[in-house]
Amino acid sequence: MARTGVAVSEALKIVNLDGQLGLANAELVRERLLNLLNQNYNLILNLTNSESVDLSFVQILLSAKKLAQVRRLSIQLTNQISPLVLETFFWCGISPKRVTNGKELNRAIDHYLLGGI
Amino acid sequence: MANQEKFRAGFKSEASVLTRSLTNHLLQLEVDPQNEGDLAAIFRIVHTLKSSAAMFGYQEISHFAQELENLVDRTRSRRLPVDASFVELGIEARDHILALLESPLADGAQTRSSDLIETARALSQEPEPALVNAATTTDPVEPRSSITPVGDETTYRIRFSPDPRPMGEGNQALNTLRRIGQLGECTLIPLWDSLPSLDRLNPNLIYAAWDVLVTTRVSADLINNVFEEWRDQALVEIVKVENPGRFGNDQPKLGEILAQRGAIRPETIESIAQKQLKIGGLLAQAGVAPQEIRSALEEQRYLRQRSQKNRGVIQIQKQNRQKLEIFTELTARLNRLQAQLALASQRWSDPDHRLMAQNLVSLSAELDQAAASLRKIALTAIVPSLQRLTSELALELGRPAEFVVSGEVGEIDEALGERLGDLLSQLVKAMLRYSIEPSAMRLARGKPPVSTIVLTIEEANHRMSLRLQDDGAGLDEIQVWRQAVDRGLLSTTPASSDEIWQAFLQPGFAVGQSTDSLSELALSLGLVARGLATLDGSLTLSSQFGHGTTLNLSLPTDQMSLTGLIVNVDSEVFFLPLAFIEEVTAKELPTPIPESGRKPRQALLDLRKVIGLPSVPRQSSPMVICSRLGQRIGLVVDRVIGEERVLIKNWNLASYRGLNVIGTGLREEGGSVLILDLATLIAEVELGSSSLRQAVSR
Repeated sequence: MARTGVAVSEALKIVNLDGQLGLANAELVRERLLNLLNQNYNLILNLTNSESVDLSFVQILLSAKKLAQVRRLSIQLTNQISPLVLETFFWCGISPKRVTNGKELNRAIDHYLLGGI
Repeated sequence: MANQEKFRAGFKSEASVLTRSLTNHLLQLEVDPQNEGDLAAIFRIVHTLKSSAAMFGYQEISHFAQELENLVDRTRSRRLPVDASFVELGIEARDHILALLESPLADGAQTRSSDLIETARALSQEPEPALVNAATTTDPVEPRSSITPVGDETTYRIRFSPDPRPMGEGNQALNTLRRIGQLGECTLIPLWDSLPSLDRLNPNLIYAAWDVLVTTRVSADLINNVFEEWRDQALVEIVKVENPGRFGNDQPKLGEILAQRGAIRPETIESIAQKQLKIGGLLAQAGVAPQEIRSALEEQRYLRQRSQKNRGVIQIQKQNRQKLEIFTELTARLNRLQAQLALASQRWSDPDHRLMAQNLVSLSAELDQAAASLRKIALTAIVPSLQRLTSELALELGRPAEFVVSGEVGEIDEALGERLGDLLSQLVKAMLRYSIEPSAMRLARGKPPVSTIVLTIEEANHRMSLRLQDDGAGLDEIQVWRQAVDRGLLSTTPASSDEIWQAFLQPGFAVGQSTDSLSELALSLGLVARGLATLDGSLTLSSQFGHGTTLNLSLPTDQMSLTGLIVNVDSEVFFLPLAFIEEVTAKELPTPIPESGRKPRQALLDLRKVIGLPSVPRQSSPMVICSRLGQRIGLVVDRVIGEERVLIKNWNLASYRGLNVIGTGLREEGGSVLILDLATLIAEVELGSSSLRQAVSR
């Protein structure tokens, strides 16, 4: 079960997303992120303790990043992410090669979303 | 309720756009029935209509579109031709969908649906299998659905688009993609343009689709099996990626990829290209979805990388070829040695020595097999040229035909594959010229207008069987029997079908002044039969008048080939493995005396003298410089016929007229050659072997 918590203050919030991030808690994660974005927070998603993610989480993250772009906010990922989580992003096609940390994954997602012609 | 109405209105609007597009593609197909892009687009439109209709409660349209999709799918996979009936039904179906959108419960709507579905199902029926074998008229032609060969690497583009629906187990789609990734080199291109913003996102729905580029040796059918669990729940399109290179560059252009996908018409691309502006942006303005352009760009990059990688592979292959020749030759020599050892070990009393000898024999046999496998190529390598030949000649002769392959596919020695490809080409040409009827005649006979030549491959007991089968006019057995009797090949007593067809392939059948088509066909097939005989193979024929002809080829699969020089001495022909040859020069007579301080010339070995023939005084003779481990000899022969690749018939230990040979090879033009054991010969010359002393000069 995922545990979502909010820390830090002002315009930046760290969102801890632990455990298995899948369909079972997808709506909870979506609502949490939406609320914070609606309050104009920049977000750092801490996936250090997340064990796995599924397609529903990938969609939520992409969708949240799209919304953040529109609102000129940012969503970043913490650097330490489990290989299992990274692998899911790879098989979604988000990262063209196997990335090894959150920073690279973050860059890959932004590149995909910007995806210029 | 209001929302439901709003969604239905949205669907009607979308369906209206889709049906307009459907009309355009159908009309285009009428002009160009072979346009795969239009067919693919029609399939996508019908599939979208089916899925969306189901979502918004238009069950009648969804059910109807499903039937239509089945028909388009069969046409797309070329199991059914694109003809006027298909286009006409497509237009009627479009009209009916529009009518159902306006009033799904109108009088007669259901009857109209049933009528059109019945027509679609009737069109979808594949032709009855033809009966092909004169002796056993119950053998059907292999179904064309099992046609895709396994062998060479092919790049496929897979559009995997799950229906918008609850995603169920959240990783189901990813698991499917993982399985595809296991098939070969793979690039995933996500298409997430329809992903809503977070405030409108339903996390339980799949919004994603993917284009997957995979380069693999497995067939499209096997790839399709990976998507079995998505049957009726996803759009899955598997398309072989061609590398068009129409503009003088071997890399596909972005626009070409999009045109091949049916996303835009080639004319539109041409006009945009003339403006000399950035193509991606212009294509977006022309209405191509950004995610399609992104996906095509990714495909372009992928193909470029593949091409560069392949160029590297070819270079390495060239470098390795010579090493492989040496390896093959050394393996042959090791075989020879192990056979000598096996013979000698029978006289040994020490059981340890005998065991060691047995182990060496076993190891040598494994090495021999490994050497053979290195020279093999997938048999399917010869298929593309046969398909090209069929389509080109069919066009030229006005006899539409397709060439398909079925059955088990193995590997074959590269040289054997080349020769087999030539022989099969001759057979395909003969079938197209003399057996396949023109379309009009086929239609009059109740056959499909496009004929099919099916190649079925089977392999068992080190022999390969190839069955080449057409559904053409067949041969008149009685007429063949009469001509065989006229030419003295058969007696006037009744003959079996086998005897008659055997006589047809005899050289005597086609001789004489007769220039009728039957004789011409017999001549062509007879030449192929003799070509196969040089490969230790055979050809048999059977035919059923009006229904088609079957040719059965059989040949060994475990043959190896070796490249070298063919030389002759008097009437003897020898093969010198290329791995030991440095150059070919001329031996000047008289032999010049080496100047003081210069390195002495290599020993000369006159092959005439070795085999006991008198020397023939000549101004000059060809000399082949052979070397091994720094030792060189000049081998004087009567004539160098040229470089050739021979198929190894067997590795034989033998001494022939004083020469060690390691086996016999089969020449391309027919006939056998003895393969000289050059390594031993060089060593013996250098060691001053007494048996060669008379033939050596320095």
